[in-house]
Amino acid sequence: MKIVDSYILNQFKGDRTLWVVSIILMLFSLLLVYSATGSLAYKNMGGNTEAYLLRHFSYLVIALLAMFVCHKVDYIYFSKISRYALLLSVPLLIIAWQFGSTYNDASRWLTIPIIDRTFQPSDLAKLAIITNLASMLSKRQLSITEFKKAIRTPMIWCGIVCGLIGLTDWSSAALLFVICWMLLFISRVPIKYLGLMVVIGITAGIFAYTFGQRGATVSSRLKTYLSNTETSYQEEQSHMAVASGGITGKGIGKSTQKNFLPHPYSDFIFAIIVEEYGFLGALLIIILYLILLYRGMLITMQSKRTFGSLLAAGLIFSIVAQGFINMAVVVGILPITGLPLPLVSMGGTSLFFTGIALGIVLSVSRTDNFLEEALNKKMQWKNTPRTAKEFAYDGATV
Amino acid sequence: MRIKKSILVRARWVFLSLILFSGLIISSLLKIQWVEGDQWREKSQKNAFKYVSVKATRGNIISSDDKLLATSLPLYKLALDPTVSTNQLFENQIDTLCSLISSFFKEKPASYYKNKLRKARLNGDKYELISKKFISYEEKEKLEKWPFLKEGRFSSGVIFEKVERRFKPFNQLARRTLGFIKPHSKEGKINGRGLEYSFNNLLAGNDGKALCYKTSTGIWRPVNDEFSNIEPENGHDIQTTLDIDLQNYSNDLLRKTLLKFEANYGCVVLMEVETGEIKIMTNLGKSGENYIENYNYAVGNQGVVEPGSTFKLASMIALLEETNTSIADTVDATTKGEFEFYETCVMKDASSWGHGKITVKEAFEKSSNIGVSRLVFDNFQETPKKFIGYLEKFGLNQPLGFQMKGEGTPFIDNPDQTTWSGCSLPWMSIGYEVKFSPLQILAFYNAIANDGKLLSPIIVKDILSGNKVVKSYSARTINPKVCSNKTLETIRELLEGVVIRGTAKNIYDPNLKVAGKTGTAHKFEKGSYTDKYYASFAGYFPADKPKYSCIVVIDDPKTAKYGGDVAAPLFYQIAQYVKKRKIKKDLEEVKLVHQENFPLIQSGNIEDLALLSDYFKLKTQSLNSEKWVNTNVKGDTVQWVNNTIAKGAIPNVQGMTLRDALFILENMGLKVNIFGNGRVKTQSIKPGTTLKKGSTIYLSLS
Repeated sequence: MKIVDSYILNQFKGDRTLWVVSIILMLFSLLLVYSATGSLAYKNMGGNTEAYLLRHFSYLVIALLAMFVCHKVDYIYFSKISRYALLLSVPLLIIAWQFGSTYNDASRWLTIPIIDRTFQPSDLAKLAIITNLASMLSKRQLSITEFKKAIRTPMIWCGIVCGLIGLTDWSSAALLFVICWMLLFISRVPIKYLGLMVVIGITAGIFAYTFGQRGATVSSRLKTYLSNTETSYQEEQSHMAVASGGITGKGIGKSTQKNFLPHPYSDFIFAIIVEEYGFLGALLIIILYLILLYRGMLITMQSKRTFGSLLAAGLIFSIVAQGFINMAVVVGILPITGLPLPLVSMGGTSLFFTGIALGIVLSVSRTDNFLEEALNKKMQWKNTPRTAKEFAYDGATV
Repeated sequence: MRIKKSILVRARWVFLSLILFSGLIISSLLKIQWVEGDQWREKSQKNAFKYVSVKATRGNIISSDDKLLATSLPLYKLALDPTVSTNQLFENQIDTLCSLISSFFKEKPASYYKNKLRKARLNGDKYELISKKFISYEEKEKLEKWPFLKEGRFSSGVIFEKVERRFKPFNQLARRTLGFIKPHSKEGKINGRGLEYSFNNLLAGNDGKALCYKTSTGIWRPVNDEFSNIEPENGHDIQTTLDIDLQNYSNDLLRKTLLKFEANYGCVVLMEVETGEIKIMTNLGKSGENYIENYNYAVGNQGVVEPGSTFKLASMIALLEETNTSIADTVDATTKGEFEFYETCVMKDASSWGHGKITVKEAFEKSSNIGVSRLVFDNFQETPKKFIGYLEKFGLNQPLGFQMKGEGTPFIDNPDQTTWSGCSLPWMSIGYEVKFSPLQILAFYNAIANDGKLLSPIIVKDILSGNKVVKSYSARTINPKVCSNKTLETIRELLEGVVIRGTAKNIYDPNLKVAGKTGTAHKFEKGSYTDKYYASFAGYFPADKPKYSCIVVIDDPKTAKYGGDVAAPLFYQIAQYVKKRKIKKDLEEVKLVHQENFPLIQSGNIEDLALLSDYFKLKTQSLNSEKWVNTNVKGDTVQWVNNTIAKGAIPNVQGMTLRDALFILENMGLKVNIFGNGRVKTQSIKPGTTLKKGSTIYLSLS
């Protein structure tokens, strides 16, 4: 048995802590989704809460599988894959915008034929642009200060993807823009171009605001957020949930605010966490995300290549930042966004692409562990064909 | 190395900023929990929410031929919460809005609304009814596009209060039969009458629920559209057996009759013999100068009265079943018109000179009280309970179990009661000291028409959900055989005799054989019999092959009294109309112009047909020079062939629509009699026959 166990465990390469934290978050989400979908199940499945639980569980399994498969893949390949994914996501985004299924007044969804599931192309686009941006920027490190040579193309891509996502999902686009900007910042792009990037961002924002479907929603949410006297209904209800949770919470499944909060299983799941598990539960979740962030930072630092560093930084940052934004909405720091809590909220597409993103980060950690081991064994790694290829690929290692 | 270091330094800054952000989240969390905690917790205690019921749409009541008899229409009232809108919106658009409101409702000047709304806004009144007038759905849609109002509920404060109004497309027709519902004085219960009330459970459906919360402005707003809601289940439709055309005809006729005789009330019920389906149920009662459907006299307790001579049918059957009496036997009906059973019991006949010695048959046909009561008295004097046993066998002792709530309870006196006296039996035999509703008497007469099978009539045939039948009803058999075939045969002969020679001979028509019995009862009021009458006629037709049974009741006619004079003519007119509409007359079949199904339009006006064909893109070819054409089919082309309408000759109207046929024939001065529905199938006078103005042509439609 022991041999089998260790065989299976040996299949899980990469950063162990990252694995463990991800799985803890996923288990936590099972509990939460079960509690928060009560009313939804009552309406759609004739009270069969287990149906939602099973569905969510299957999504978790798929996300884990995606994570596992991706971590097995050498992350170098993601550079190329991401380019294709990026090219694919542009038409998909346009199709979703024009013909997608509408849910909560925003057509962000495409139905995949045969399996008949809806998915959001924006999640794919997000992953693709982060990965591809890391690739483009790492390749251009030696000439990073030259606008035409190094900066123009990545910036244009950022503008296109953020603008297209912004048509249907303004908050996701804004978050993605921040992540892109951060990647450019980390990649040592000069301050003046970062300023230019902000201009591009604002332009794209206005474009999406004018031509997109969400202009009215965005303006009303911003208006409510900026107003001192007005508190929106969701905000009030989520504050009530937060306040009534206390230190230790009401207990598993005891939330009452789930009846008043829209999307208690997704956008406002953090409010349910505080209500049911109290301040301590919320703190635990925040710490788990901080651990993700910390491990991501270690991987970034340990990575022997710029691509690996940028990739790990960008992906971990996007996951943790989205998590914190979700929480910030609940506690009223940010206006309502509609971003799910990664790994915790119900929703197949989000889980799947988060799984892939974590898989890629793990792949970075695994590959570089392997390199480290090789170094430790004093192997002449510079002469292996693989590292030769890599050297040509990535001009700025070690 | 320099590059990597630089990258890592920058990455650390980014990560650090996220860590700081998490600190901000934690501090906000603590702030909400500790600083503002009490405020939020208090609010959450008061989190006002409730399930608001979402009304299910009430089902329709439809006639046997799928016409809507009662349906629900949404209507709206316009109201406004003037405190909702922003100052800017309110001030900018209030003028426009008020002048629009003023010109729409035409009730008050614009300034009135403006003052009213402004005042309410200042006072913080959350609800201002703009007009009590109901507006339709279409009008509501129009109003929703008005400036200000188009901002919607949560920006402008507009409220469209939905009220579902029950609408009866045929207005007064069968109004009482269709009935109504109203809230009971007891909370949560309902009261009502007729079908609406009796079938309320099925019609009402199940209301849904939506979880709503109270906004700070005091409006109940659905928490969320995607959960906590239970969809309402709309009510079933119920299909009645009523025929709205017949109902309409009988309604008009009954009103005329009531007016003519200045009667108190009247009712007509028509039943299909074999199925027990009620086709007509008309009730009209006096209301001021007019007559309206104010009570269901045919079914309800107020209509349960002493029937008088129509009841002699029961006495006669009992007599024939119990004894060997032959209708040719004689009975002494005296020559004084009076017969004394006991000192205080003096039976009188309608004619004061008496019928003398008459046969049993004559006694029935002439409705001799003395004759019938003596026969019954002589035979059941010792065994009155036996006589009552027969009434029970005829199903007359208890309510029919009709589908409508509020059915009246019949009354039959019996020897165990203190009210029973020596007079009881003879008086009972002619329809006194017993009380029945018109529907019960009709059901009994129907049994005679239906070869002795007594049915409990039905008025609701199917329960529908959408177009699907979820439940069907058929008439329950109360007694499969109320009497022997021999008696049945005799009794039918007697009933026919009433119309041929007896009290209803005024409606004798060799072409429409009616069998029935008149009734003229003295009304019993305040403890004694008065000189007011209850005139009725019950029977069936056609007498030899009964299809329909019918009862006509006229209460308290002032200008005449006998059932034969008052009720029978109405019966006859209805029978004639029903026969025309429902019973096909055997005609001399004339060969059809075309037997094929294509084209459906076989004959008609060239202009109309060409227009239709163009619309449906049919190929046509004209071989024609006249206004009226027949059609011919050549492959996929329709040919127009002249249908010459010659002067002085009967034209060929077969294949035409009724409208065209009527136009041509009536213009020629012919009287047209029709039956059936649809296109003219056959005509009773051959085309080309010399035209005789004023003669009648029969058209059979199909």
